[in-house]
Amino acid sequence: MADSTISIAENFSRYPGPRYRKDGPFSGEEFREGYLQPALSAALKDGGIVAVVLDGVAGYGSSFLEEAFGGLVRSGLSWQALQDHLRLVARTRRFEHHKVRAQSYIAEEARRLQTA
Amino acid sequence: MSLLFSGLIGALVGLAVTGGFHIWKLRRDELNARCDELCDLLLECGRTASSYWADSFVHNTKEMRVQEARILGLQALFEGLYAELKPRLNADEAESIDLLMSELIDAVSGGDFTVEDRVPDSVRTRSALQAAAEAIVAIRRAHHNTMPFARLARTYHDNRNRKLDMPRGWNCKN
Repeated sequence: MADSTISIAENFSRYPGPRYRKDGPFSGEEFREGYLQPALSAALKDGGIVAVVLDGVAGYGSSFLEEAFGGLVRSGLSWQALQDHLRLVARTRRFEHHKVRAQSYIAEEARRLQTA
Repeated sequence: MSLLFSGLIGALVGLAVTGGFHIWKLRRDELNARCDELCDLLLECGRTASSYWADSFVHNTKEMRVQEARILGLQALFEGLYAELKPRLNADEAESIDLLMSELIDAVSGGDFTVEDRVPDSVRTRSALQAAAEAIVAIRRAHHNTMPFARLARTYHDNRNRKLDMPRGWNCKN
């Protein structure tokens, strides 16, 4: 079982950008497709956990968080799989409500797809 | 000699009490200033976001990009200030403010934020300011509750304004 950690500030960008790739660099879509999904696929195979550290960036647009984390559910990952293999980490107080927001995006999207 | 000694002790005690009070007052004033600054920022961010969501992105890209940058800057600023204020607030109140802040950032920079071909969003136009207002009220209340005897004073005023809801003027003859 191999656990991995992705720090958005260190591995992706200190300045996360828009929702979609077409709207600019360092988008939520780019982060999800380039970093999150590959790490989660590996974690699902070997039973590991992916920790995503939210701290250290200048700030998030919520649309970035929605696309990165809510988008995981739209891309076919189940809520249960994300509960088992994804950990969102806010080490400082400043990012605690971003963690709350990202978790609620996952839950909202899972609920929406369930009722659709 | 003993008179001089007791005078010296009295002066030292006075100095300690006055010094303690001034340190407390300094911290209190600083906390008040941070709270005012944070609330002003929340309102400004809500207003800017409301105006951003009321407009269409089409044919207006430059202005929209500037507004996005302003919203993200304000958001970073109020998040930083709130992180400084938070440890001084009651833990339960801070937790509920976290939820309101989470709602606020969704209202100001969620949805189709940054998406170039988006249309005006009437729901976010309203909710950006409403979420900011809710957060401000909660922060003001939590800040007020950090005052000494705040809950005692609140209970006193609640009781003072309470109206009895029991029926009056019962006819006891029957």
